[in-house]
Amino acid sequence: MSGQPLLEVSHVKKRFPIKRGFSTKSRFFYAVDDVSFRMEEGESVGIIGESGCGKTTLARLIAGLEQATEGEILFHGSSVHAKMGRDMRKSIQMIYQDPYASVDPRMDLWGILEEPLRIQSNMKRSQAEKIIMPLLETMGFTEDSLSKYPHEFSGGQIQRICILRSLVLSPKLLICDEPVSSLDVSIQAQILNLLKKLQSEKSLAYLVISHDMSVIHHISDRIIVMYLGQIVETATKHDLFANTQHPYTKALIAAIPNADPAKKQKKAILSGEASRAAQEKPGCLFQDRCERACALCYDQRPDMLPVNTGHYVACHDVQTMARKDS
Amino acid sequence: MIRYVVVRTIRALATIWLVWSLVFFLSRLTGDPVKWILGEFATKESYETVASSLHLDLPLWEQYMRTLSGLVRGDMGMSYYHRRPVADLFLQRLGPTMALQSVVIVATSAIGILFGVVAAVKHDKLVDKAIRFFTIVGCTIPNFVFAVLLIFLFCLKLKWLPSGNIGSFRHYVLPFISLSIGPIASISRLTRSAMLDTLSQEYIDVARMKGISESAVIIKHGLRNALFPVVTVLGGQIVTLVGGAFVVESVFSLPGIGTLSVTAAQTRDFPLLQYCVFIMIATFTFVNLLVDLSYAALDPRIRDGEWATN
Repeated sequence: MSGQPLLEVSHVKKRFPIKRGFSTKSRFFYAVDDVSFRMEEGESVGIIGESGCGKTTLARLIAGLEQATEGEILFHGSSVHAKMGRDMRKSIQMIYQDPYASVDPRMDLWGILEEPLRIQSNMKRSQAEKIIMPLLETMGFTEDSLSKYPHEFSGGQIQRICILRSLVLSPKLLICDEPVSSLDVSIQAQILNLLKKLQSEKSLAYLVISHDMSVIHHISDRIIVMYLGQIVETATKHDLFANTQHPYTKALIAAIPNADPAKKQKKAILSGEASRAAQEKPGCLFQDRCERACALCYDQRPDMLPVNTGHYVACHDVQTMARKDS
Repeated sequence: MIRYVVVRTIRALATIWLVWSLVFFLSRLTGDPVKWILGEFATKESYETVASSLHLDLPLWEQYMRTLSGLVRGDMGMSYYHRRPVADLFLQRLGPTMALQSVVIVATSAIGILFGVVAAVKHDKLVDKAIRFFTIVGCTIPNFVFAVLLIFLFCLKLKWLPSGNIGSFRHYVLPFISLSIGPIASISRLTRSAMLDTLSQEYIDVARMKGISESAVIIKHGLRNALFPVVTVLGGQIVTLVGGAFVVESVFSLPGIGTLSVTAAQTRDFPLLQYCVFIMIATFTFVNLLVDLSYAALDPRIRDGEWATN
C-alpha cells in the first residue's frame, strides 16, 4: 500500500440516546461502535450486515451528514465533518436505497443535474451542458428527458439518474447505500454492471452497503462484515468466501439462495435477532445467537486479530483454534 | 393545463350557485319579513300592499327565478329596511372588515410559517418547545374567549386600549390579536410537522451533499416541498377567519360586514343577507380556486394531469 489512503476510519463511535417515556436516566445505543478500516483509491469495499447493524449510520458519518461521537474519519488526510470545505464535499457522494426519495419531486432532470454544478463552481449553462451531456448519453438518456420530472421515470431510470447526479461532481468516493434493494431483480444486475463499468472508467472508489451477500459479492474487492455496530470480520472477497471464519459470516453466506437444487448445502440457520441489549452485556456481541459460544465469549469481547494477510476476525473460537494449531 | 383550469372554474361557479340557492330557501323558512316591518297589529290591506311591493306575495318558485335573474344581470335588489341598493350598504361596511382581515391574513401566513420553520429547524430545542406550548394554547382557546379576556385585561384593568367601535388603529389592536392567535397557532403547527417530514427526506441529505448552504437547503428544498398542505389550509383558514370575524366584530362592536350580516339575518332582510352570503361564497370559492391552480403551478405532477382526476 503506497502513501496516504483515500479514506481512513479510526475508532469511530456514534451513539444515540434511547428515549423511554419520562425516564430521566439517559441510556445510549451505539449504532457504530469502535469501527476502524481504510480504503485505497479506486477500491471497492462492501459492508454487509443485517438491518440495524449500523451500516447506514456509518455511511452517513463518512458522507459528513452526521458527526461521530468519538473517533476520526480522514479523507485524503483531512477530517470529514458537517462543515467541511466544498472540495471535500464534492469528492464524497452518496446514492440511496429509495431513488425516488432522494430526488426533489419538484425539480426537473436538468435542475437535479445542474444544481450541484451551479452551487459548487457557479457554472454557466453552456459549461454545465458540457459535463452533463456526455454523462447523460452513457446512462442511456436522450436530451429531451432533461425537462422531465422524477415521477415520469421508472425505478431503474431514477436510480441511474441518482448515479448520474452523483457523478456530475466527479467524486473520488461513491457511497452506495443499498443501491439496488428497491429495484426489480432484472434491473439490479443492470445497475450493478453500470456501477462496475463506471468504476473502471473513472477510477472511483465504492463503499457499497447492503444486506444482500450476492450484491456485495458482485461488486466488491474487499468485504467488511458488521454486527451490532462492530466489525466482526474483514477480508478480500476471495478470502472471505474461500476461508470463512466468523460464524455470523458463515450464516450470511449460507443464506445466499442457490439456483442449483442438486447442490444441497448444509445451512447455518441463524436464530433470534440482533438485539441492542447485547451491547450492555460483557462478552461477544454475537454470544446469544452463536452455537459455538464458550465461557470466554460471555466474559470478554473478542479483538480483531489477523488470521491471514488482510483477513481479520473478531471471534474467540477462531482465535483459540488458531493458537492450538500453532 | 387549460382543461384543468376550465374544469375547476365550472366547478367553482356551480358551488356558488348551490350555496346561494340554499341560503335563498333556508332564509325564507325563518319567518316573514312583512310582519317584522309592520309589527304585530298591521291590517290585512297594509300587509298585502307591503308584501306585493316586496314581491313576497308571489309563489316561492317565481321569487327564486326573479332573484336569480337579478343576480345574473347584476341587480342585487334593495334592502327591505334601508330602501337602498344592498351593494351600497355592503360597500359602506367593507372598510373595517377588509382592514382587519387583510392584516390578519398576512400576519397569519407570515408569522405562522416563520414559527413553524423555526420550530422544525430547532426540533426539540427550547424554541421548539416554547412554540409548541404557544400553539397548543392558541389552538384550544376560541377567539371570542380571547376577545373577552383581552377586553378585561387591556380595557377594564389597564385602560390601554378601547374596547369597541372604530376610529384610530388602536381600535383594531384587540380584534386583530383575538382573530389571529388561533390561525397563527394552527398554521405554525402544520408548517412544523410538514417541515419535519420534508427535512427527514433523503433528497435533503442529497442537497447537503451537493454543498448547498444550510439556509438554502431549508428554504429551497425543504420549505418549497413542505408548503403544500400549508397553502391548502391557509385557503381554508380564510373561510374560518370570516366566520370568526362575525363573532369578533360583534364582541368589539366593529361596524363591518360581520355585524351587517348578523343584523340582516335577525331582521329577515333577505336581499341584504343574500348579497352578503353571495359575496362571501364567491370570495371563498375564488380563493380555493386560486389555491388549486397554484398547486398546478407548483407541482408538475398535477400540472401534467396525473392527479387532476382526484
